[in-house]
Amino acid sequence: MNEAVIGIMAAILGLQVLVLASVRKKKVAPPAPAAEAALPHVDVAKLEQQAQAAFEAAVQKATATFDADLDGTSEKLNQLILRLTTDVVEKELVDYRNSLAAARQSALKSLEAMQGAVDAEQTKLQSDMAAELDKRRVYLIDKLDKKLGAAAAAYIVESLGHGADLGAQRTFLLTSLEQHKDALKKDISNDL
Amino acid sequence: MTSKLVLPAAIYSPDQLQFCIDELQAYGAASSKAKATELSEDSQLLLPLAGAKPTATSIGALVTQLEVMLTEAPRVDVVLVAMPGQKLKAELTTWFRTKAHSQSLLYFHANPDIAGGMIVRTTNKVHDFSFRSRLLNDTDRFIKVLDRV
Repeated sequence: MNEAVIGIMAAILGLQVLVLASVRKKKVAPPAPAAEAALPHVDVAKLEQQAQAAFEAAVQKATATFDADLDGTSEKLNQLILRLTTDVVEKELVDYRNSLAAARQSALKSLEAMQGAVDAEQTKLQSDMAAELDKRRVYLIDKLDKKLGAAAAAYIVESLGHGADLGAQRTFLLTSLEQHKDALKKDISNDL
Repeated sequence: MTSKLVLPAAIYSPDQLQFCIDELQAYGAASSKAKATELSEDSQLLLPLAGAKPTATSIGALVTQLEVMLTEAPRVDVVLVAMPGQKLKAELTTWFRTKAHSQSLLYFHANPDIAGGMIVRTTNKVHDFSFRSRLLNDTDRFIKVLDRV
């Protein structure tokens, strides 16, 4: 950008020089034939020299002024460009930092949510497994009890069958008959 | 014709009754030639039912009544863990004849598998009061009892 500004300034300078040159040419345009006949040729040369010196002084002054202006303007432009660039870069950096922070927050939130879901699932799985194990344990114990009960009962049945004492069972036999007297009576009567 | 005789408890089974009928029939046919003491104990128990002084006619009538009873009386199978003695047989027979039907005839069987108690089988039903069924049908209770031991 500095180069562009310097280029522009150089073009403006060149134009000023051209303008001044054209002004000089106009100033040194041949006089009217009537005025030339009035002045002696020594004075014309002297005027020309004076004009030339004044012109050169004016050009130098204008050039110095333009140089100073150009330097100042260039400096100001550089500073402005630097400031603008710095501002832009800073703004971009701030934006970048903000978006990074936002992305990190979002990622953290997602992670937290995921962790929470995993923890909840783990807890549920653990409780489900514990419940299932309990159910299985109860089932196995129940099954064992039944099998054990059946085995013990079968053993007792088989053992009692040998060497049984009917005399000791007499009371039980008569009590059983008495308890089911009505059903037996009805059944036997229906047979007839 | 329905017999209204009540048999002694010592005569409990149809086979016994049939034997007594055959014996009494032969005794009646033999008339005065046979002696009452030659009859079996069971037949001797039945002879008084033919009267204080049984004759061939009264014995014949008794036999007829007994034959009617044999065809009409309800029959019950009683299964015990072992074969009962005479006393228990008589007690059970008396129970059936006083509480169920006065002319019940019983068959007694022994089956060690029932472990104890009895199974009463009539024509249409089985009444199971055996230890086996009580133990095997209620193993939960059995386990609870074992837990308390």
